[in-house]
Amino acid sequence: MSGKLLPAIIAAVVTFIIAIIISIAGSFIPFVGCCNCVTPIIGGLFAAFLYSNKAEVMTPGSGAGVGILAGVIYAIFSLLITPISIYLQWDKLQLQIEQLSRQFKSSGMNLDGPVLIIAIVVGAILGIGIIIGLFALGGLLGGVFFKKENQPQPNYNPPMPPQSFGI
Amino acid sequence: MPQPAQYYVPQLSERGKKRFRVAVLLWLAVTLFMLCWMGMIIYAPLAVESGHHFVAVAIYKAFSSVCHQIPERSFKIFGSALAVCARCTGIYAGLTAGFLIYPLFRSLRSSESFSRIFLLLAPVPTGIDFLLGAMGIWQNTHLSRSVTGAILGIVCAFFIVPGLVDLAQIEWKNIFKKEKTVPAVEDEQENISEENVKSDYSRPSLRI
Repeated sequence: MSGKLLPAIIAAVVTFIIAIIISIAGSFIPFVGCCNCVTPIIGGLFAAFLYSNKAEVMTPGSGAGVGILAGVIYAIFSLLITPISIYLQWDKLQLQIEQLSRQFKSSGMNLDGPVLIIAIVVGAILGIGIIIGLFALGGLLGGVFFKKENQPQPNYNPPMPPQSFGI
Repeated sequence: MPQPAQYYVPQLSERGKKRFRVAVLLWLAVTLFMLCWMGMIIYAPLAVESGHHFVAVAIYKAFSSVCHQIPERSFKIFGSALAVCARCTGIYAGLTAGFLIYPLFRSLRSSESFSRIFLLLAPVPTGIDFLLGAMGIWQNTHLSRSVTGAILGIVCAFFIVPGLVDLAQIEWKNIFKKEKTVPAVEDEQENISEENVKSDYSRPSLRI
């Protein structure tokens, strides 16, 4: 197991739970929804922080690496939970599609049901890319913030000449 | 005894030049990516207006995962809201501007980052603006949300670019591998080969 996988999984799980809490709380408390865009960046930062605790060397590159990994794991969780969330919130989704159709028809748009669903799926895939990008940015920032250099090497001393040298 | 000219070792190595080129390419790629990102945000309402409905829905849906997209809290073009709220627009615009202006302030050769205190202070204006609004003490506006967001974005960009320069110095194939502490002296000794025995007094292992 690579050293980056465990911190990435922990960060992805924690971020995923926070995102679920925010999305649930957002329907009751309006301003909680403002934290949406911060969540993936914080997730990337958290992954970089966890990795920096274990690793001997922490560079922005490794921060970005662990951030991307956490983003991909988060995306997999999102994809796994999507059918369940669609099943649980089917009425809400239908309402959303109806609202979108109505909104676009009022502005002269005409998107039928299946085309609209395909557009939503394309958007969701694009959204996953955006989330992974934000995780990478968070990881990169974490790599800069929690940067750990190599321990300074001891002075290079040449080996002593043999006893018989010069005799 | 002085060495002939062919034994001269250039101080700016080919590897250094290559790393600088990679850093410039990385900076260019990320800046273009951010410009596309901003383009998508601005294009969403234009797509609604111009009848590109499929694209508009895809963009709005894509950004719905990272923003609440409340129309009252978003800038509008032709009566339709941008793909993200005013604060997020400010953050992304600040990031893009930060990437664009970074080379005017610091060379892309340097991977040294600024003091971390700036990164800690950067979210403070946004936080104050958000908290004052949430507590009902002060009604924040589109301008205040976007300007405080832009400050955060610019500062983040000034920390991300040195990270990109640092990224240019690593081996891409090792990005997901565990970091190893390799003494510099051993690394240099591994590079000594038959054709690479020219004397270099800046590196103890290559002194003849």
